[in-house]
Amino acid sequence: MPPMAAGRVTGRLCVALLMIVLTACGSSPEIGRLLAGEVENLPPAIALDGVPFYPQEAYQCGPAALATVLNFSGAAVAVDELVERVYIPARQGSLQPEMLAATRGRERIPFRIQPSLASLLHEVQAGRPVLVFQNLGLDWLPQWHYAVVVGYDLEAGSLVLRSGTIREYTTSLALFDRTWRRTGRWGFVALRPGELPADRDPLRYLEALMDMEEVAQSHQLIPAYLAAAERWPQSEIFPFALGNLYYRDGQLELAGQQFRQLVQDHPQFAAGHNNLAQVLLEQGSLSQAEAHARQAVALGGSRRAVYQNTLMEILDAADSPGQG
Amino acid sequence: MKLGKMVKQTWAATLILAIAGPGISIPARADLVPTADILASRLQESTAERVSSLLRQERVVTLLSRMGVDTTVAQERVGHLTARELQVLERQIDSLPAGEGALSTIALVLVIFILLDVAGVTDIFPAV
Repeated sequence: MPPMAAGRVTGRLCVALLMIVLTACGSSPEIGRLLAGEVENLPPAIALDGVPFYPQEAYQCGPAALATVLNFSGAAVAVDELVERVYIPARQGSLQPEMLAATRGRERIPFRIQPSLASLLHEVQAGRPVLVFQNLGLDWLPQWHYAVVVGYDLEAGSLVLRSGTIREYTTSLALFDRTWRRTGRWGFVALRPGELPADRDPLRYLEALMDMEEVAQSHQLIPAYLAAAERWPQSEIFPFALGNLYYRDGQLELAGQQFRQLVQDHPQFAAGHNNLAQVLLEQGSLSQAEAHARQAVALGGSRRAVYQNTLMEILDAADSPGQG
Repeated sequence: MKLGKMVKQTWAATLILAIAGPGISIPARADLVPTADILASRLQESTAERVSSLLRQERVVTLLSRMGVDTTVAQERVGHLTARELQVLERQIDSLPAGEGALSTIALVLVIFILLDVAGVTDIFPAV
């Protein structure tokens, strides 16, 4: 390159680097709040005990991170087994959906935390390491990476991770958040069936359970639904979901019990009456079935057509006692 | 005549069975409101979409095999993906970010030399 052009390029490069450094130095308002102790119920520092360490092999941070959270959760599994589950040779790495699938495959419910540092730290506070997805590089030159958060210190403004080949990787909250932000703050914890997340949003938990239900055996879901019903006793969705699970499993008696309690606790929940009516119909209790079906229709809503269908079936069955 | 009538009735019954399927002798199960219906986020998923998951599983297995995953292993892997995840994988298996780990030394050295070349400090790459 001719000397003058080289000088200009060097200048531009320096400006570019300066800009990167400057934008890198700003930290989010959320971090400010955390460091100021403004986030409720968060102790100033936590260091989780007994989180295992699996130094990663080349390109295999996914299996290593998974092995960390799964073994901590009591699901004994070797890194090599997990390489089989998530590593894609042509991509030289692991993809997020398969990280979740591999967790389900070891009978743990992956719960995606909300995309915020507070949510992350609350899980650590609850005693759970959090598997996170980061971009350690730049937007235009990404370096995607899975690691596990195992502690934090608000006074020092730092986070501790099992990361790559480093057992205790300490980083500032600001730098971590910068790398985490680039993946939409993606992260999850591996829950034992019946273990509840720190997050108080029942719908978010229900989503995780429904994903699990798509691919797992019922016995893994039942403790989860029962625990959720206990934590969120005001919610109709968990008894409802459990009733449906029993029904799907052919356990009519148990389904009936769930729906019966449900309509007692939530008499305005039309779908509960409808599903109870369906169970009663199959059990041969036609008059009770009719009563609940009529109740569902009366309550109406967007699924009124379904409830009317149920009612018609019950009336048909009542008319022809030899069949159904 | 009696035989003819019997045949007719049997034929009609068979037709009804064939059309209505195995559920004819017990009440149809279609009228239970599934849990998914009460979640607005899942309302869009139709039964057809859920059914087509099996086909999608097969396609994802093929994609994974092409990318170096053993086919038997791939069959097991897809078994724990939800319908939505299968969709995402099928469409974006080439473009989804793949977590690999910290930058390898070679890659880092390469980046540094490229930057140095651009800055005119070195002249390693003729194209720069």
